[in-house]
Amino acid sequence: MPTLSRRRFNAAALASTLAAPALASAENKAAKVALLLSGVIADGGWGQLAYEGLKSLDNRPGFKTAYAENISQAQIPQVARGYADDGYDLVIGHGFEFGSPLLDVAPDYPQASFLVSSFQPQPKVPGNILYADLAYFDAAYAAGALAALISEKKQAVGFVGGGDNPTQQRMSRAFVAAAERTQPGLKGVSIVTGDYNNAAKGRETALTMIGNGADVIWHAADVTGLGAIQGAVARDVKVLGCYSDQTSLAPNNMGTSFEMNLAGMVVTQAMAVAGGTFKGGTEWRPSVQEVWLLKSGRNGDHNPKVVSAEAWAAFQAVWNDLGARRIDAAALVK
Amino acid sequence: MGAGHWLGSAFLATWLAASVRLSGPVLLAALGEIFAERSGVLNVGIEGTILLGALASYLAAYASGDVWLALLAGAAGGVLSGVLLAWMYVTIRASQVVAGIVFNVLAVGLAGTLYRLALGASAAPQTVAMFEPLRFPLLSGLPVLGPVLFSHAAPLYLAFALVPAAHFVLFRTGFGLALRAAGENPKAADNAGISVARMRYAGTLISGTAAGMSGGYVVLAEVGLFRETIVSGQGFIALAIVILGRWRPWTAALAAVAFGAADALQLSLQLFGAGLPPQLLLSLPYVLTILAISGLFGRSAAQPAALMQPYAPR
Repeated sequence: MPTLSRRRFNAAALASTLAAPALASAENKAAKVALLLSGVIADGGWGQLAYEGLKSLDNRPGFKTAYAENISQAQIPQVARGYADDGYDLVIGHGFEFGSPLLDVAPDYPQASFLVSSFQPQPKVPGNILYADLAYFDAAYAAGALAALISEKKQAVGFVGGGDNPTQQRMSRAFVAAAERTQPGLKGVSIVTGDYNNAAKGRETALTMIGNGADVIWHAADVTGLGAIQGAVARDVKVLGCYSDQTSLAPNNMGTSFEMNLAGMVVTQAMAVAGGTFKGGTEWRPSVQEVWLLKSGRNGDHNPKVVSAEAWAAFQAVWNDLGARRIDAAALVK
Repeated sequence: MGAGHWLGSAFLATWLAASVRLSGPVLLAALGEIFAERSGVLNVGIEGTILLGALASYLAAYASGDVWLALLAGAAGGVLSGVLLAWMYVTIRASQVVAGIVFNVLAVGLAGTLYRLALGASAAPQTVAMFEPLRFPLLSGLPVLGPVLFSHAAPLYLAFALVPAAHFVLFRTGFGLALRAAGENPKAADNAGISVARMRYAGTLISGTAAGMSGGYVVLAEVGLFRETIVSGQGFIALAIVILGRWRPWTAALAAVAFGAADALQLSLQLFGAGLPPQLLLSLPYVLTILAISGLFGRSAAQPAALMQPYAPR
């Protein structure tokens, strides 16, 4: 958790006293927002993108933000209560692991709002907590289809998963199903490593798949995934990025990155809280094209040296079908 | 494409090659740890030392682009960590387990802070130069054996070359004898004119150097980037390997490869689905760890008698 020295605390207290009259008029448009992470903000992906949303809030008058990293499962309730007790208006639990613990915390703080960037864990949830279905399965389906389309040997394409949880397992199934549907005869393979933070294991996972015939690798595994990308580069096969634009890690091998618009999620929901329009008790379901962006550094949305024009056109059809919900990947992997 | 492809030599070659690669960093850390434990110091702080070594290597590679210099920087980071740890273990005579664990927590915070100071909090991941796999004429092209034994980066061969060296120093030199005496019976060693404190400093510093290089190995031969979670328990696995290897370099090398094989096997087995739940496969290395420390492999007989006992000369 961030710590505050006494001197900084005094300075902040003084500043807030002096600034109070100026802020009063903007008060109903501002909010205190806390971001809780099981990882770190500098992970180059999942944590960092949400943190960038937090930073952009800092530039708006009246918003006050804080973040806490490396929160273990056991610490979640205590850390969340800490921020709610300190008067934070929006507490964001960033990830699947926050889903259940915050269910017990939210009812005790009716004045605060809670956002969990993962699925609604049970049919009925407290009215001040909002869950988000961030179209993971649609994204995994899209990645599987694209991987199959850009595979050269048409033998196998591989998915490297992170933590062993239902979301990752279902993403893995969506990737495999899409790959095998798109290119009959090709095999979709998947390994869930059980770890989001083990780059060395990610590399070995990718090498294992490549050694067994895969020639396109996608991951959804954060730091473990960074290792998977390195493995793909080491064996010079194609790779797709996840969560952020990872083109710089593999400029010659990466077809595109599925970047999550998590900064947008943080800002949208913080503004909703500040404006009094936040609505909890349900699950927010943006389409895959709203929460996932296709990025390839300076190339635009894909690298033409890795993805042929023909493959990209075929992929666009799948992507648009997913966006319009003509393909329902979630139903496919239930 | 038939099932034969999936169960053929490709499976064996990738599994065994991954086993050897995954054993490298833990073997390096375990070899050093043997020296610390043989001198009577349970250096629990190697997890944090590996992390700081990884950071030092990363920053050196980032600044210089020279992988060997970066590996040396990792060792230097390990020596610095070792000095602090030895001071706590030997001079202060703090509880070795508590001091080690506290150091590991400190290392995570320190590494994260230094990394962000050096590169900025929101910097995109920056890869650094890495060791290229060595190519041996003829040998690298052999089926199965080529990828398994002759396709790795230099630090891996260095780690395995250090096994006979460590064995020689421990069991064939006066220094090794004095070091082991300090860990078996410090009072007797003291009476024989051996400085127990000096031996334990030496053991801890060797352990720190090796752990720092192990961190450098992870960055420079495996992933090419740095995150404060990059070590992910390798130090603790090294501690288990020392026990499983009965405090001897050769058996520790076997234990390290066994751990690497278990870790790699769960990856390879998942490819086949085999009907086994992935959770079961993921637990393989940890089951091995529990077996290692359960005493099934003769813990009490081989353990240095004065391990974890602070020594105060009169």
